[in-house]
Formats: sequence, structure tokens, C-alpha cells
Amino acid sequence: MLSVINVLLSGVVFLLLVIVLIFSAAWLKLLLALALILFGIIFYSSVHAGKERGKDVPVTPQPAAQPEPSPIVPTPEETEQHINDEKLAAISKFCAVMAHELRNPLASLKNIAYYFSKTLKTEDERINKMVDMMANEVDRTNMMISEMTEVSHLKRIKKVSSDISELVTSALISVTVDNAIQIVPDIDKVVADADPDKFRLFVRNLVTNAADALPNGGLIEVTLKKRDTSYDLTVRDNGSGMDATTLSHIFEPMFTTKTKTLGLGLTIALEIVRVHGGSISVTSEKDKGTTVTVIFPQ
Amino acid sequence: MKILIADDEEGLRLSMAGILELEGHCVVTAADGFEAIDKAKQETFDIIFLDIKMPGINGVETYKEIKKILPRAVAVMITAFAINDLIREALHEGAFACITKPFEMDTIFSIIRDIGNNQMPH
Repeated sequence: MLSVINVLLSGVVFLLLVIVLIFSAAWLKLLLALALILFGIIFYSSVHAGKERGKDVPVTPQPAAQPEPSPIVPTPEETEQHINDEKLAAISKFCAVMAHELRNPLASLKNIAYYFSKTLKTEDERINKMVDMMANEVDRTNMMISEMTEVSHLKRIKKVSSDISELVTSALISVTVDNAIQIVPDIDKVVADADPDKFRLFVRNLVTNAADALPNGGLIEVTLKKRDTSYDLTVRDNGSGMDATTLSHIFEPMFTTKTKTLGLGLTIALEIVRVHGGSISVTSEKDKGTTVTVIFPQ
Repeated sequence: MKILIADDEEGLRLSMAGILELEGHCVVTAADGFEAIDKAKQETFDIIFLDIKMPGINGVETYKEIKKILPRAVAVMITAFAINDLIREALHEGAFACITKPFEMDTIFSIIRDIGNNQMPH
């Protein structure tokens, strides 16, 4: 009750001071402004002190003072992972929107290229070639958009009991590589929980990456081995290999040494391995080849 | 066949209509769902290609309205990005197929053939 009277009295005094301030001379305005500020400080302090003396608030027993918890400091690896996760999340959102916006004009271009191929009869081979190129460039652009879209879907994972050997085999069948590249599978029978679409995508990305290192043809060995409590997948190529600097960046989003991709293939593969509880390691030697080994728990 | 193409992308309407006319079909185009519904009130169509995402009403809602006017018309949905809920709804409403942009015209020809033969898509 006392605090209510205090508040009302303070409010009236404050209002009187404001009215005088508005209608008084300049020097008096300054003096009164200072008085208002001082009044405000005193008012706040008295209300706060009153509450601490328990005049208006019932006293409740306070718990015994707890020791201050130690601040949690992330490790450098956790920090780096967090940065990469944020990068990936931002890219995912952007990619989803851009995929839709870009595919509309691409669809028009593809159809226009088709129409030209049927109606533009010319002896100029360059024109005929350019018309074919239009359609191919649309397909290439669409592939990059699909790569972007795959990133935006990475967080949606649904694991079911799967025949891993069949997933790897079907992924290898769906990969398109140059005729000069030979893919040699050595697949054990493995059954484990996995998201079938994501798993196939991850295998395709590893094999596609290996193929990109074989511009003049070569060999890609794909091995799936069942162990006691795990299974591992190895993709080995005898291609151009990587130096240590390139190797240290290969899983970063948008890092690429190639001109025709966005550099998301291995980032996507790494994320899929992570959500499946696996680990991935890469060894490479310049001009000798690269080996990617992924170990999954069973 | 008499075909209606509803898509807000002028390039796609123009090119797809041109190609289908080369194949001997009679094609009418609409720039949005409302225009497509108006066209359906004026003429009879065998096949309607509907873009799912259009300004105003989307392709699925357009299809529902056109179904009331032309119950025998067969709808094929087109989408630039998989909007799964709308695709499911369209197929539940009876759409014949759903294709993603950019598509191969051979796919379109195959769908038209299947509709002509009254067969289900693979």
C-alpha cells in the first residue's frame, strides 16, 4: 500500500516538473531537466531498495549459492564443424529457391533448342552444332542445379533396413563415365540401416569424383567389405591424385578444381556419411591416384 | 489431339506449343490458372498440361476447377521443383502424370501416346 502511494506522489511531482519545464525560460528549462534526471535516479533507487527490504514482496527462501559453472569452450574441430554446418544450411536454403527459379527458363531453352533442331535446316554445320550445344548446355546446367538441390535435401534422412550391396551396385549402374574408364566392383553382401536414396547418391558422388580424375581413362575399384561390427566402402582410382593442399580442402562446400561443377559433390558425400554414423578418410598421391575409405557401423 | 498448355513462362508456352503443332496437334495456351479455366469453358480439350506453381491459383486448384467443366480431359502436371504435397494432391485428384522441368520432349510425346492409347504411365 505504501509503495502505491509512493508511486502516485512521484508521478504527480514528475508531471508538475514537466509542465513547468515546458512553460519556463531557457535557463530554468536546463535546471529543471537536470532535476528530473536526478529525481528519476532517486525514485528508481528508493523503489528498488524498498523491494529489497521486503516491504512489498514476500520473502522467499533463496537456494544456497551454487558455484558458477565453467564456461563451455568448443574445441577447434567443433568450431570448424559448426562453421561448415552454418555454411551448408545457408547454401541449402539458397539452393532450394534458386533451383525452382532457374529450371523454368531452362525448360524454355531446352524446348526452343529442340524446336530449332527440327525446323532450322541449314548447311552451316556450325549452326547445327550450336543448336545441339544449346540442349547439352541446358542439361549440364540442370545437373548443377540438381547438385544444389541435393544439398538442400541433405538434412531429410529416413533410414530403413537396406541391402547395401544392392544400393552400391545400382549406384554404379546409374553413374555415367567415359568409355575409357573401367569400374571394377568387389561387393560383399551387407545388410544395414541406410537411407537408400542418400546412400546411392553418396556412392555416385564418390565414383563421379574418381572419374573426374581420369580424363584420359583409367581404373576405378569399388570395394564393399563386411567386417564384424562395421562395413567399409572403398573407392580407389589410378588418376591424377592431389597434392596435400588440395587434399585438405576437398570436403569444403564450393571448393573445386574443376570448371563444370559447383564443388558440392564431396561435401554432400561427407554429410551423408556423417548422418549414417560413418567416418571417411582420403589418401592421395600426385599422379598415382586417390583412395577414399568410408567405414560405417553395422 | 486438342491440347491446352497452362504455364506462366511465355518461353515454355511458345516453344512447347510450337513443337506439339509440328507433331500435328492443335494447341491453345494460357498464362495462368484463371485463363486456363476460361479456355476450358470455351473449348473442349483432350489433354491439359498444367504448371503447378503459377500466379493466382496453382495448377492443382486449376485442375480441380477444369475437371468440373471437362471431366474427360486428362491432366499432366509440370513442376520446376518437387513440391511433394501438391504433386500428391494432383495425382490423388486424377492427374495422369507429373513431370519435372526441364523435360525431354520425347517424354511428352510418350505421355501423349499413352493417353491416346488410354494407358497408365510407367
